[in-house]
Amino acid sequence: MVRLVVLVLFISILTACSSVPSGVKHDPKNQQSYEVQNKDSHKLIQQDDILRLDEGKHHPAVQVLLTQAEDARQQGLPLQALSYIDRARQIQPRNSAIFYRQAWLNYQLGELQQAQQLLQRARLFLRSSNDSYEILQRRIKTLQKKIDAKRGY
Amino acid sequence: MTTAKKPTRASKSSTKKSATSKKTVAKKKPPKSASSKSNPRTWKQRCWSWCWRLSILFILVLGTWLVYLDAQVRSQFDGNKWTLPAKVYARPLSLYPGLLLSAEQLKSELLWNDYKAVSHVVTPGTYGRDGQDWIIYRRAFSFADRNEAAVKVRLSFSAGRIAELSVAGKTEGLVRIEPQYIGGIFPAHHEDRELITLQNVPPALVAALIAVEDRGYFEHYGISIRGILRAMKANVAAGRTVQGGSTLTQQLVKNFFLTNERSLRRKVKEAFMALLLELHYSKEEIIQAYLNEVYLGQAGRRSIHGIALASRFYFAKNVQQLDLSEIALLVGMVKGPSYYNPFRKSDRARERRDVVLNVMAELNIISAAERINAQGKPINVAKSGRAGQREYPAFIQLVKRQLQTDYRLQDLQNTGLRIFTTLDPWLQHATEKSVQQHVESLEKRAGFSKPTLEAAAVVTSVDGAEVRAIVGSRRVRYFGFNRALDAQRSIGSLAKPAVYLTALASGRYDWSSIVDDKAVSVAGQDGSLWQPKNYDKKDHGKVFMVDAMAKSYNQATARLGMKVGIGQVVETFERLGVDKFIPPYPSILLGSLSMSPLEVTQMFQTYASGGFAMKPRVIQALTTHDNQVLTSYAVEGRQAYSPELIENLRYGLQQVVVQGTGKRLAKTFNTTKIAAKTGTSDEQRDAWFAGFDDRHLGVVWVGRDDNKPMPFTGASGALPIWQNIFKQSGLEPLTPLVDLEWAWVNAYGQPVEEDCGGIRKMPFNSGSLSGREISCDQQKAFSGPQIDLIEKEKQGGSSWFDWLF
Repeated sequence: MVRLVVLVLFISILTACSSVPSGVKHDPKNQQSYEVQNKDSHKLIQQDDILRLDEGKHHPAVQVLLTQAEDARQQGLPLQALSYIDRARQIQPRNSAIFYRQAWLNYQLGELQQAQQLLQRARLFLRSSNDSYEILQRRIKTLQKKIDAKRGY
Repeated sequence: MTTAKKPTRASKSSTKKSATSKKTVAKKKPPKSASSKSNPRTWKQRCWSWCWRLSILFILVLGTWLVYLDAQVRSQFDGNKWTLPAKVYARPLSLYPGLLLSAEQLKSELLWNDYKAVSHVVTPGTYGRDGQDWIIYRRAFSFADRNEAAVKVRLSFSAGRIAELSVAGKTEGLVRIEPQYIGGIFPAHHEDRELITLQNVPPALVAALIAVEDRGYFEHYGISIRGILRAMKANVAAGRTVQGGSTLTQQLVKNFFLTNERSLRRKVKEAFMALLLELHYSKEEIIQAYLNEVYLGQAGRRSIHGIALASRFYFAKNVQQLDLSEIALLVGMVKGPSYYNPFRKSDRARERRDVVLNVMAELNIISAAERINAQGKPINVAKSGRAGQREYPAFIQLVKRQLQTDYRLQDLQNTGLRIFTTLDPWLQHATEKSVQQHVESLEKRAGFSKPTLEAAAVVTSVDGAEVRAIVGSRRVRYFGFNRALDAQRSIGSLAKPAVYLTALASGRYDWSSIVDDKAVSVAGQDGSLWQPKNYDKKDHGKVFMVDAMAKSYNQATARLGMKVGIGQVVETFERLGVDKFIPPYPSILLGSLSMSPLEVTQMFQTYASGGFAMKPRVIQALTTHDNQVLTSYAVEGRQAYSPELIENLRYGLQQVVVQGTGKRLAKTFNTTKIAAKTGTSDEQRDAWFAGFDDRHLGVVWVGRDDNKPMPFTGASGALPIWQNIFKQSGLEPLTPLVDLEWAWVNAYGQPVEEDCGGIRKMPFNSGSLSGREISCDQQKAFSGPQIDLIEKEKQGGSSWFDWLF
């Protein structure tokens, strides 16, 4: 439980590293969705409750790999998604967004300790926050609740 | 009837009556000899009877043997016919805008990957220049994550980086060049092959093979009586064996199922198996198997089987890309791969090629013009020792070792796995070259008349611990003792950063702390005394802790280590990733601990990565031969130390380059933003250098296998190798991981306000300066003799060690 709490804490801090634009479009491929507040328009829009791995503005090579990782994740191939993320990391080894995404995948694979370590790693490279902090934080919390509920906490 | 013989099966089939009468007659039987002589028909009958029995027995035995052979033929020929060694690949070269890449590196990597420079880039596997742009026709390749088709890539450079990248005129974010083959994990017989289907073999090659080796291939049933008679006639005429009568099917049987034993028994077996093979399988299946089985040469320990691998090995081409001259040469080599080896015997190979071309023309497989054209070509073979066909023993050994924790050796050797690794061929070549050149020059300097020194080196990426290069011996092609993995040598002063890290982590020391570099003596449990001396045999008195580290003072480090506690230092080693028993002896403070270069790499990796302890990793992904992903690996580790603490330590390691034993690097690279440490063991038996920039960590060891002293230190023996490696790979100055607080310190190591008599600026852990900085007035009040007092106050009073000495 302590680990989970620490994990949530780190995830909250690290959401800032992920450069997700404030007006993220709804992705019809993902059935699970929830409502978040758009900071610009102050109206409720539908958002994925799981962070898409290809969101945000990135280096073109990293963007290609994150898109491939997202495709793999959606096809239920988390290990393949991990390998794309790792390739992205080799191109930008100190991009905290990439570590954050790998931590997310590890988290989904049930590797909580590894996820936690990677989040610490991501924190090291986190230099500044951005507008998407709130959206991401809510996403993480929602997912965290689901996982906690599944585990019967 | 007067015979006395026992009843045969035939007589048993007679009536009971006759049997009874025989018994009666038997009672009055005459002498045996008389009976035989008097009845020759009975003797003949007996012979026939025995012949009959033997024939039945022979047929039974033959039948059983044939059933056995048939089972053998079918079981081995159905399904997977060959044990396929695992193929190991380097990392693919990823091209993307912004990548720092020299034209020299790109060209080298393409050449090592058997790309050919051409003026018009129209076929996969070629590249060319169009003004300042590069055009590369990337081959189709099954990468670990997906199959990618052949693509024509255009890229331009600006200021040493890729500026633009496009595929078919469309801007692209990322393109990979297929990875270089770097070796295999072979079964004991070291057979290597690439499988190919008949559809992918040029028809001219199949036709030539049949024309030269077995013209009646499509007419016989496995053996050719005509062929045997013709060979016999030719051999009798020549008075020696000049021609073989074996069909292609027999040759396949011999190579595939049998041995090279020259005996009648083997020949009979071969004939029967050939018949059985033809009975069960089509001519096309048999010729396809032949094309994959045929032995075509030797590359070191690796034997080259099959035309697909031979084509790549001899011509650096896919078999589909072979021209007539090359096809004829390959077909000609079937007769004797060693005798007609085009690398060593090009005249013989040429003659043989021309013979094959003549036969092809004679049988109208090619026209006379094609023959003349092909015969006019020189023997153009790719270099046998080129990078695309050579192996990297030290790296392959590490791959094998890491994989054997999860997979059986047998599976690695037999099932055709594809192993995608982290090896960077450019760095590997730089490392090999540096080791080879420098070890030789050291020997010359030392006046060694024969090879005496050995060396090992490991290079990893700082952020992911991917092993990019590894050398296990000065003989870089040697598949023997791998010093990078298995040599356990005293690490000398490479242990010191762990002592200083322990001190910094304790919170009682900063780099500005004053430590005493004077004679030290520690009594062991057995009464022996440990009395380390400095390399220059001098005492340096009270010095800043950072200077003791940078200049590698043994006495100061030993005193500091005893103060922080040996147990704590041992714990630090363990946290850094040293996975072995560390005896808690004082001598470990100065590196009496023995480690391999790879273990040292793991320890320094934690410094290089900002406190994230990771095991050096060589595998990226593992797939089956048909590209099913078995495992893929991503970065794994644990944050062993806080980034702040490690950043602080890295300041000390940079001081080694600024003012210490690694000073020469600052001049070479025109920067001091390199973290490094030299190491020299007792009596100069080992010379070490470990250092990292913003991208790579390199660890180098030089020493003698007989562990005798040598006239070199870490700085003179190992540092130059590191320097050459990083010169070629390009050095990227370190960037800080976190922002530390900086303050001026006075001569007593106390932080002082700016412009108040501070003599050096030093880093402090964030928050640790609060309330410690002394004002200008306080600074003025200080005088010399208070150093001890300051030190003791700062360090929380005297330790038991001070009391002891």
